Amino acid sequence: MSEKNTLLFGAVFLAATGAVALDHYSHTANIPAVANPAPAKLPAAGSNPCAANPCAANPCSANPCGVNPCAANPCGAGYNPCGANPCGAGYNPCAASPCSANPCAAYNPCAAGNPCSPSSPCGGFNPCGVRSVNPCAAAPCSANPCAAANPCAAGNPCAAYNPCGASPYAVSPCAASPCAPAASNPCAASNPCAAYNPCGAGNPCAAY
Amino acid sequence: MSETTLNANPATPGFTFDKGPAAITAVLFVLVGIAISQAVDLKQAVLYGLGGLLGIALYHASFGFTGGWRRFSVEKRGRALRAQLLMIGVAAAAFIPLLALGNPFGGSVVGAVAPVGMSVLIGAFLFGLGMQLGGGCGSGTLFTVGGGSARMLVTLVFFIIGAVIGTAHLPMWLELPSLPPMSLGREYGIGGGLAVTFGGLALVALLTVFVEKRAHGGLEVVSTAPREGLARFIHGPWPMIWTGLLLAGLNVATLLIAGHPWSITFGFGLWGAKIAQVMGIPVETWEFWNWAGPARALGNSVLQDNTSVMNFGIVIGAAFAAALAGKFAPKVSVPLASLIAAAIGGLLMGYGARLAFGCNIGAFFSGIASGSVHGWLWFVLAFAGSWIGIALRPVFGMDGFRK
Repeated sequence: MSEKNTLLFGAVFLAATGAVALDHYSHTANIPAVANPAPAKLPAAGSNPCAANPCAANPCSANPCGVNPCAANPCGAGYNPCGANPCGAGYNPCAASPCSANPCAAYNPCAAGNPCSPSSPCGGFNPCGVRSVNPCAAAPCSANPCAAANPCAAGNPCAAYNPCGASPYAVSPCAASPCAPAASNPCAASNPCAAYNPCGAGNPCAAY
Repeated sequence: MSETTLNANPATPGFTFDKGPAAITAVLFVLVGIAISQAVDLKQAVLYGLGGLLGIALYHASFGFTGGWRRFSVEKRGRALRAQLLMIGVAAAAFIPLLALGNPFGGSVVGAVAPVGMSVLIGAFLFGLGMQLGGGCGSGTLFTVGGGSARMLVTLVFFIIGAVIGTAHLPMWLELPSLPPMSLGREYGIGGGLAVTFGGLALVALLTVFVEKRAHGGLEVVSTAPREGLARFIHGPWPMIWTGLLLAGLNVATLLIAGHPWSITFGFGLWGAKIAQVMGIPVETWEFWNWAGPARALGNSVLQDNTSVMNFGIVIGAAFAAALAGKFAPKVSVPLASLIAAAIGGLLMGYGARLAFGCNIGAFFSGIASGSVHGWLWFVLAFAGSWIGIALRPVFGMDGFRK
């Protein structure tokens, strides 16, 4: 190891350490050393994106907002699909740029095949079902309790069956157990998830 | 195997190492880990630790992509390339089911899945070209800098500059035609996704076998390591195949802990953007830095960025490994033409990685392992760019297709 190299790398290390320490200090001590205004597309600082969350009152244990699907998302807090629904008409973070431009591509709710898309075969995927993982995750239908008899799939024998309507049937093909009584139907009126029925027209989560 | 990769086959099998740098880097590694755990949290420190292991493994096996691709292109030897393919296949065996079924330890996981469009085509080509001029890819640049290569410091500086310029231009590039993100796991289910991924990897591996046998009459015989056992473990060189498997395991661990696969170059762009802010360049007004994820990273401490702390770990881990190997910081003086190539290569890699949604790690390794079609596209175009880069190397006084 040469002395010149020792000096070079020592200087680089010290400069890098100093820069990291300064950056960390300036961002944790709220010192406005570096101007970084809040991005226009993010919720206002301090605001809880879930505060007005239509899912907040959701009694379903499998509420996709319960365990924030954005927690480990590189887009994190500012991209909560439950807070300002990216699929909603009022707030589309993809609007300013095409959805393909989204750095969150893997989690892009606008991506093809996503369960939030109205045209998606998973469109009727019930977020109140047994799934506790992000309905926008890859292959969300693979663990869908309704997958085997997905009422949304074209050509499905259940296709004619409207899980959202007043069921003419005693059992629901969407129930965890297809033979369970109608009361366990996530779309049934008496179901605690009824208020969150993603299939309901008036449901605030309907567009999600 | 980046160009500046330090000789992994010492002349003598003795067990000597740079005691001073080894002690300093070991203490430094621990101190930085403690600092991150205190400043952020334990999870972030664990990610830093994973980075350290990656750095040690990359250095001790000289596991780079640049040299492996060049060796196949020039010498028709595909051993390194096949080790990379095996590594990706093993990672895919875990990634595709995990991404489909969710994280068994709670929390969500997201794959390295990106759109398939012109930006990937152009970005990957530029990256491949740049990595042959720069002398290392994303991971190669980091671990050779950690090993004390002064030339690769130049590559890294320009890599960062290129990445920042890429963030300025990416929205414009994304206006070009593009298909949405396509995941093989999502398109074909877990079984189908795995089958297509394994099939594709096996096909490329078979192609390398065919080319190598045709050129040499048989596959390369791995030479015996100068030392074995604990001495080899500490001093290196590590076997490439086992190191590939280790890297795959560490990438899976990254997915489970960070919630996303291993990536490198987002950190470079972030560092550059923060430096640019200090210099008065209003990067926070650029569209890219107003997207939610980048905006959050820019507004937070760099220690809260997963990619950055893992990059720090790789550099310090590689420095520790280099000291153990007795090869830390081999020389400073580098020919001017080589420095110019390093600068151009760094710029191209930084810019290309941003356009292509990642480098050899984020797009090639993690992308294909995630079942993303963009990873395959990246591979093809980056390999084509690498081919051109090899042809251009003699312009800068480096070896190319003719030695």
